[in-house]
Amino acid sequence: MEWRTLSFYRFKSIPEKDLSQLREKMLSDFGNMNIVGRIYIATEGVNAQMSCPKENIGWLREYCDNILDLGNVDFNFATEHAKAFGALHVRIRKQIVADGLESGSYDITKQPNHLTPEEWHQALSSKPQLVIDMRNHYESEIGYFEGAICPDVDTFRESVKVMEEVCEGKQDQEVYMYCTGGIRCSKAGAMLLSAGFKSVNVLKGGITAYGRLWAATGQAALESSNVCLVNGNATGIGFFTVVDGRLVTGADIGNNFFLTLEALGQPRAAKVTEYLQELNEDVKGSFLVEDPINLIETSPDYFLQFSLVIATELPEKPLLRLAEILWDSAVPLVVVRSTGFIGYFRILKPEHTIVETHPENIVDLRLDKPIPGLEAYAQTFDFEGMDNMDHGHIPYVVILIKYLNQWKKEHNGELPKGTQERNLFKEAILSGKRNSDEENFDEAIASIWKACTPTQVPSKVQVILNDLLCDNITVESSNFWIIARAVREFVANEGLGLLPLSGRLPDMKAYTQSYVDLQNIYRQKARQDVAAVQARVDKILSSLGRSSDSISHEEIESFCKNAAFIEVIRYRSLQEEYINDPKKEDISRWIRDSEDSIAYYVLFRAIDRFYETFQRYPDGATLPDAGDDAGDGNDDEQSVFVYEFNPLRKIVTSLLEEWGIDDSGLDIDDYVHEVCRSGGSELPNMAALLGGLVSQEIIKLITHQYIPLNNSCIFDGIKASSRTYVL
Amino acid sequence: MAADNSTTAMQTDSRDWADRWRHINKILDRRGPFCDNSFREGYENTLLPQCKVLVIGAGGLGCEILKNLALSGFKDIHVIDMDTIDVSNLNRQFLFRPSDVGRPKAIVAAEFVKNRVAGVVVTPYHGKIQDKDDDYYKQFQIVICGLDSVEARRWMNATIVNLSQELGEAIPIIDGGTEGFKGQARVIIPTVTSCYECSLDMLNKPTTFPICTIANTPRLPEHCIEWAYVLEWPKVFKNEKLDTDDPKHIQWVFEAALERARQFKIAGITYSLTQGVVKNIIPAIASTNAIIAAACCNEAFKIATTSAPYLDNYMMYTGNEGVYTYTFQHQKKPDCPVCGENSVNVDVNKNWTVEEFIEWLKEKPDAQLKKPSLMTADNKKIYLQAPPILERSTRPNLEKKLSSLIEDGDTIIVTDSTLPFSLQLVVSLI
Repeated sequence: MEWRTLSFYRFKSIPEKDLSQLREKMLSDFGNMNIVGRIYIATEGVNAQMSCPKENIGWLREYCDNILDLGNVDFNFATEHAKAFGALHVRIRKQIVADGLESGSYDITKQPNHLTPEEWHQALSSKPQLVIDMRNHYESEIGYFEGAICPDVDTFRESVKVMEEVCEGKQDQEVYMYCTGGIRCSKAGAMLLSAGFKSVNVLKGGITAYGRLWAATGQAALESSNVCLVNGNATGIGFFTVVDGRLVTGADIGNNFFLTLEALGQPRAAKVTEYLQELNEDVKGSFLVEDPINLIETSPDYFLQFSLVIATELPEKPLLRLAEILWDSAVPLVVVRSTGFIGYFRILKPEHTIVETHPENIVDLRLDKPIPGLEAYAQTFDFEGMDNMDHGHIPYVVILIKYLNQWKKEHNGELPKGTQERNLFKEAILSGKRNSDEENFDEAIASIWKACTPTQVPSKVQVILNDLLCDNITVESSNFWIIARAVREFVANEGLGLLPLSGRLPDMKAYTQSYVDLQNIYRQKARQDVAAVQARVDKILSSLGRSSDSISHEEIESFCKNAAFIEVIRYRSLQEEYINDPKKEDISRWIRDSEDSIAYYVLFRAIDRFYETFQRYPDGATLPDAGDDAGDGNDDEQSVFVYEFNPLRKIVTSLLEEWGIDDSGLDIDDYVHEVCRSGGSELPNMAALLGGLVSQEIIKLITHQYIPLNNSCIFDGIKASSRTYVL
Repeated sequence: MAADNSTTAMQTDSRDWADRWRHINKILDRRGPFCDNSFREGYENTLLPQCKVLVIGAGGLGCEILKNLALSGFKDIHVIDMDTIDVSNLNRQFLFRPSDVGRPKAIVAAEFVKNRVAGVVVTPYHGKIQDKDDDYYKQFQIVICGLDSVEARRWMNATIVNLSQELGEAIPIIDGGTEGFKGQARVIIPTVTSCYECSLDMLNKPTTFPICTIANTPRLPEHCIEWAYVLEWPKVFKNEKLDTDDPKHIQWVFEAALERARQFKIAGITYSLTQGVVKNIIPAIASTNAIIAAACCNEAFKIATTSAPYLDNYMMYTGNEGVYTYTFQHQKKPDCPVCGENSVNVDVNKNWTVEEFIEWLKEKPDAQLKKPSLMTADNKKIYLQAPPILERSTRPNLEKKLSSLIEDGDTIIVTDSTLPFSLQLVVSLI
């Protein structure tokens, strides 16, 4: 059975005489729903922690809403879902949270302000005086908010005492408090408010609301990431900041699912932050209402605090400036633009290293240079002496080893080379096949090509190992380069010219036992290789004065497993693309291909020039019919055409000229026309599509998993196709 | 209470505010160079104000699709989904909140979109697509599918294609699908372009393991899981079919597989792997859903407005290495059982028994049958899977040679409970 583990609580007044009847009712009704767990009921409300069969959650929801009348109580779901309780207990308590106070000494209906994680963060960033951790000391030891008072207590009763002590006489101060799930603060807040405190704020959902959802390794990186969105509209990461100086317009609301009319005229940065928060309450966000162009000019260092910056709608000059600032500090920048059906984005980052590229197949059998123990193991198979059943279950790795040995004996230790020899080798294996059903022999034959290809360090990886950054290891070197250096030394020494072994064995026809044996041989060698690389990493770290645990064993293990597939991407800077070294030849070639989309790139660049000249973007072109001369009663269209199309077309010509491209004979008028028509409009579908592509790439950049785009992408929504370019 | 909310929302917000459609109107008020000839400037001259669009599925893709359509100016949106919201949906199906867990997806999604986007009417149906008949489906001008099941897609495709043929008017289907970093968006204009059935052989064949490996020599955790649900389940629960949507069933398979793996010292059995193997699923990624849903809605927008040509007819997308799309014209299959000629010619070994013929049909990649029933064109029963009384009476035929029941060149009519249509096979015995 699939379970959902959840908790909920509600302060609500229940007459004492009704409690035992309610208990009976809950026992029978929850029992019928197969719910197990621990539920406390008291005159002050209900507090439940339970595991519920997944298919009964809907039932539970209705029951809480309509029968128990808990007023749409929030279910707090745990991250792990197993049956967490053995049985169902409903207990009548004096209180649902024991506070050690006389009942009636405070008013539980006086509830504090429940701040969402975002509001909480916002509030704490101004460093308030009184922040109290209402958890027990073993909970706060794991981590707490900066500046919080963490009482060294074991029970909530004691916390309450400490709270009363530290708050004494501070009725006029703002009090902030938090706990694990929120219930303790609900109570503690009510006590303070009853005691005359003016402003008590608690973290809604408690610490739990902060850390849900994210689990896997890459997710950890996402969680600690801090993304800046310049003029932006959408994404979802661990922490983000929106910088935007403008106010919400009617057009923004029309285009944006999370904005409603109430937002009209308010700062866009604030509203966008709010709706991102709504999308995922675990994401923490903040905003800055300021014109980013000003900010880039006056305090460029502001942007260096982020782990990634996304820029939309920035004119060329401030964009170049921002790109330069970020580049020098190696902060990645993603530039996004769209107009009508056309979208564009570009990634900028001096260097991006990836270990977990997630290749489809990382099998590395090394049959040409069998790993220790493999040959000895292969020799335990007496092919001739086996019955048909056993013979049909010899792992193909063993078959290949046997026939390769035979071949090498007859050919001065050489592997089969060339098609002809490989065919002869295939014949040899075929001759050992007893009947057509022997799949293991078919598997061996299918792997001949691989087995006969000498194992070596892939040239792409060799380039990385020979990189200057691998030569010069300093205290500045990243973990990637330190491990790469260790691997390089490994290859040159105990690795005997080969990378550490991945240790992964593909499935093959075999008895369970022989498969497990083989797996152990490969795994053992892989483990030895990791240990050897680890020793070299330790040595490098100690020479740098870094502690040996500053690179985790898992990181080294992962590097070794993926060593044949590591990647380093060095992006071109915007400076190079725009000024020092434009890709003239490539653009000239691409633009002659009528199927290509590069013309839109040229147009995005031309739009920026248009803006510099006219201080506005081109907007509004309706080409007159070919035979429809001016003065035909169509003056408006004609003038729009002249004022928008012609100047933009001219800019395109001069831009191409700068790149040494003669545009006569180039069929690009339609592209110019379409861009004028779309007038910088942001279509909701294109924004969503681009948002999806960009967030996918950002996740790759932040997690260092999978291979991100290098470096520009145009999505043509008219043709529904994308192209990528190195620009 | 929900009904009250939506009426007030309708009353106060049905009026458009200044600039609401500024972005879309730039495209709709001005002719572009790639526009279709039939394009007429102005929102009111497009299909958007009166177009009825049907969205199939309110899951990962469906949520995105509903949001996009509403923002694109569609006013009358319908949505069908048979599922209720599970807590595991919350991370990417952004129309749902923790308090919605257990409620029907279609209803919650419709309410959310209606409350967010003024003036849009979203009509939900919580149930199966098969509950609805032709009269229901023919009211729509566009159908968008955001489904994760081949069967449901085949049913929708066949239903809409047949309906279009009957009406003499094509109802375009826009079909989106995702699997991990991969996805596709396509436009099906019934009778004009290829249909979903035409492309059935493009589907990846699910990985299958040889029975003897599963039975005798398991090596991978997947082998143990297959053993549990292919071999053990039918042995233990003789009359009960395994329901891959029933968590109790999956749990049983998981536990049986775990025990077997323990015996063979194989590591790596997890509940989610069990689910993955049994249901043959690859986890969904939110960004892929966003991309594919947006691509689908972009096509719906272009079809409804003629403001740009629509996709002809297939876009494949892969995102694990950079960004890659491949856009091409998928060809119509002349003998497609749904949109093509009615009969398919097949060569059949004349020594085959009926049972062997059925096995061959199940393996045939462009047929993908689960439990085919066979009749001749003149209504003679060869083998019927149901009802039980007919199954029993036709069972003896399974061992007979096909050639003893039909002549060379005869037509066999194949039906399957998963299909809304029949296959007509003209059989050459060779």
